[in-house]
Amino acid sequence: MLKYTLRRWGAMMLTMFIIMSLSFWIIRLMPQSIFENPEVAPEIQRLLEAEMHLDKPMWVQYYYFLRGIITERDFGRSVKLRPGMEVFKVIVSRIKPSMVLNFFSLILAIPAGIILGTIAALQRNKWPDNLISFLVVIFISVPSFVFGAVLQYLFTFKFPIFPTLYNASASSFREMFRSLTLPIIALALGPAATIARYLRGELIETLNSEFLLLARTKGLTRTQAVVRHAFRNSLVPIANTMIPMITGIMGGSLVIERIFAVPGMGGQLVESIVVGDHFLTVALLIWYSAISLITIFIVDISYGLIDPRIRIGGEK
Amino acid sequence: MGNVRRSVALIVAVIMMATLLAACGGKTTQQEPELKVFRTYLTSDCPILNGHDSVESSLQVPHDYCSSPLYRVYPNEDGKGYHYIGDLAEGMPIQIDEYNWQIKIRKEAKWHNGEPINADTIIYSWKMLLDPILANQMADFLATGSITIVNAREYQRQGTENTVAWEDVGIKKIDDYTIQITTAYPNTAEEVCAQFVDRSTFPVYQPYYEAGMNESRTQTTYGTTLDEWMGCGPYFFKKWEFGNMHVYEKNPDHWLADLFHYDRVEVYIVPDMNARVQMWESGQLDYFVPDANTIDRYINDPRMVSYESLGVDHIDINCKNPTNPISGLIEYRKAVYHAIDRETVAREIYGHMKPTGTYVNGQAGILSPSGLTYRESEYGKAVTEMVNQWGPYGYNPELALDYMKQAFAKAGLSDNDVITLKWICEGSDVEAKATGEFLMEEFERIFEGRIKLEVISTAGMSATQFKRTGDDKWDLSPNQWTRSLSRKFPYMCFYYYLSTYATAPNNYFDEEFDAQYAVCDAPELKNDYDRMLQETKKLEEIYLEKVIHVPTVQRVVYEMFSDRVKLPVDRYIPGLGWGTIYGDIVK
Repeated sequence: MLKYTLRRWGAMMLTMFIIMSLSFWIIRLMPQSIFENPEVAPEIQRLLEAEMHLDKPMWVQYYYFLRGIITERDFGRSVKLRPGMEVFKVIVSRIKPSMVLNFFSLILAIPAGIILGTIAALQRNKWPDNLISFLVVIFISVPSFVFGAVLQYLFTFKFPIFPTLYNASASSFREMFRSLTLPIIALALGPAATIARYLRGELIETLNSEFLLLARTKGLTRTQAVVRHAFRNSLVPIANTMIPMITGIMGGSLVIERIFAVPGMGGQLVESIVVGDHFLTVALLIWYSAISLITIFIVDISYGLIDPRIRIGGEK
Repeated sequence: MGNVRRSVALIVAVIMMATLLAACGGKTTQQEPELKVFRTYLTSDCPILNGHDSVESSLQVPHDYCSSPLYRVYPNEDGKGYHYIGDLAEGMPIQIDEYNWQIKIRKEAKWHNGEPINADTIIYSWKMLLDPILANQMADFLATGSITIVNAREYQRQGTENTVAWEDVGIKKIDDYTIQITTAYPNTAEEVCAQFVDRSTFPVYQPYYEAGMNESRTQTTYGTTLDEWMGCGPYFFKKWEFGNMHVYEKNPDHWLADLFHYDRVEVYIVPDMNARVQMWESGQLDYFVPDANTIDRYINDPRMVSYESLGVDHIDINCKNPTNPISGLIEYRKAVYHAIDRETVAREIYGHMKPTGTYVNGQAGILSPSGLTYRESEYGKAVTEMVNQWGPYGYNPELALDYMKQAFAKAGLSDNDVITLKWICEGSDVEAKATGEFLMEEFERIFEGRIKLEVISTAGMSATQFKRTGDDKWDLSPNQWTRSLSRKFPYMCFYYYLSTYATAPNNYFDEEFDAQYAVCDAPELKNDYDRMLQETKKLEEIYLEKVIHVPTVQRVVYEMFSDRVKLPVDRYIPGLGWGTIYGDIVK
């Protein structure tokens, strides 16, 4: 297990290094100038470029880029979106709202999805299953921002129970959380439906398997058989669907964040590419890659915990 | 293992319960009823608070409330006009001679941390603004505007050459509380005041400015966060939740505190229009600007106020598209000019805007000594009449077809040839996109199948940014650039289309047009308004003759204020607006 974990960790670091390098080279080789401003005299532009080592050959720039990240956590400074601000600070300032929003939406989505998926499987082809399946189709096919807009209209305007916008300056966590309730629900519906759909399918297959029949024959109740055996077996494929969801925790949600004025990560990457804020773009690419890789790593390791029959690393 | 699972399940259950309880409890707002809170919004946040180096107009809001300029515009008692009042300055500028003005700084002026503000503060702030190495984007606003400060622009644009010394710039310290400005041309006291109301000329706090400076002194982090910025205005900048909200609270010790009546100002950052509508409808905002999709709903609302803005929407024509054989031809430009049904575009697509076939905006000239706008003058009216002779607002399909046929013939194309024009616009610009789609059908009809229009969305990139990528395979692009100086000097709205303007949004330049602009810009015309209008007429005629670009819509601004806000003026006053900052909250 330890050997496997270390090997996976090593592979992850290598992948990370390759992604970092590719991000650097691709973005820096783009034609758009970092200090594009025809009103600035060329010699001043040269000074600005020298400050960020942009006057040096690409390989030297690459060295400074790696050194900055590894030794000083220095990703450079934002040039366009937050002029002069350290890129690291720009990202850090935006992570918190996105993380809170997406973390709680996942906290809501996972149990809700599991409960709904289990009910649908156990009540197969009965009205609860039909109802859940209908809702699942709706929640998966309709984008989250539509639910966001509808919830905002209903619960901030028609029945004003919640604030219209995210309240970042709330005096308490409770107040702040209240303002995030609607975006959390809007974001949770899709993932909950996805989990429910997968779990229903897996559970139905497992419920028909011979080992479950054996479990019942041994005297376990239906609930005991489902919880102890069927459920556990069905969770393994579900783990794969959770990877993009967990990645989304840090990724932000462009439209939902816009609707509820959540100053999160959503849209930052697109904006930085559009305006040519190269340092920020590279840092964001690294950030997204890092969280994806870490998530994959955690899910890989957790297979063994979910189902002990899976021998990690293929050893006996 | 079983215990771990049970614990995790318990934690999840507790979090969910807490979520439910937290979400359902509490009050929607926790404002103290006695506070006068003005609630407004911005559609996007200020990227930084350093007024020297950000062109974002949103930056004016925190500066107006939380910082102090030398002068402010203040409404007249009758509510029908405005005048300048000293903020950091004590009294109006004192004229020494034709070119020299002295400005006294208030002795009681101080930063929010209590440190004094004096002549050194102003000199340092302006020296940094004009610093040739820092290359601040807003330096021009100090160097030249309603007045031109001697050698300011030359100093700022010299780069590393060291040809102009700071001592040669027309900004001097006379004593600890007096500065002297030397101008290139004779000016009035109001013109001097007008130069110092923009955020770029507000003072900066030297310790933070220097602390944020990099080694080569090419950049400072001043104003990137609230901790690296200092205010001195009638409000304290209490909270800056980037991308979410600003909170300003009244500074009772400010020397002009009596002029400001709100106890607290809350500025929400609301990019989404639907959210803004819901906030307005539910009384969470005191100010609201409807867009083309929502204007119909409010057009008869008694709270609605409107005025013609500085903005005239127009269409840029690329004259260098290598894939379009007629792109360089004047006949093609004229054909496009006459093929736009501006009435339909302005009223049905933009919603309650004014169609226009001319470019000088409805506010141009309103701040001239006579108050006569160019459009209301005999010269402006003559150009409008000329355009209307071609057709309503220049729209004349027959003439358009005739010009297009000429263009095809000149390019050696037959009547069976078809040219596909690319209309580029930002995807989120609903009006621009709808105009493109409308013109798709119109062009096909008017040009009898010779022209097809393809609408291309630039996906998050503004059309101007798209053009700067170097992609020259576009043909038409809706645009709008405004210049506030045109309120005083009407011809200045053409400034961005001169060949000398470095970041021109278009690639079509004309020597005659440049030369006529220079005539309008001559110093002797600054004090001869009638002559300036006359020369502006010639400039606009050249503009139309050469079709520098194609004007379409005179923007009309529609704004709404809630009943609880009492404004100091009873109509929109160019240069002052509604004087919202001096408003009051009434029950």
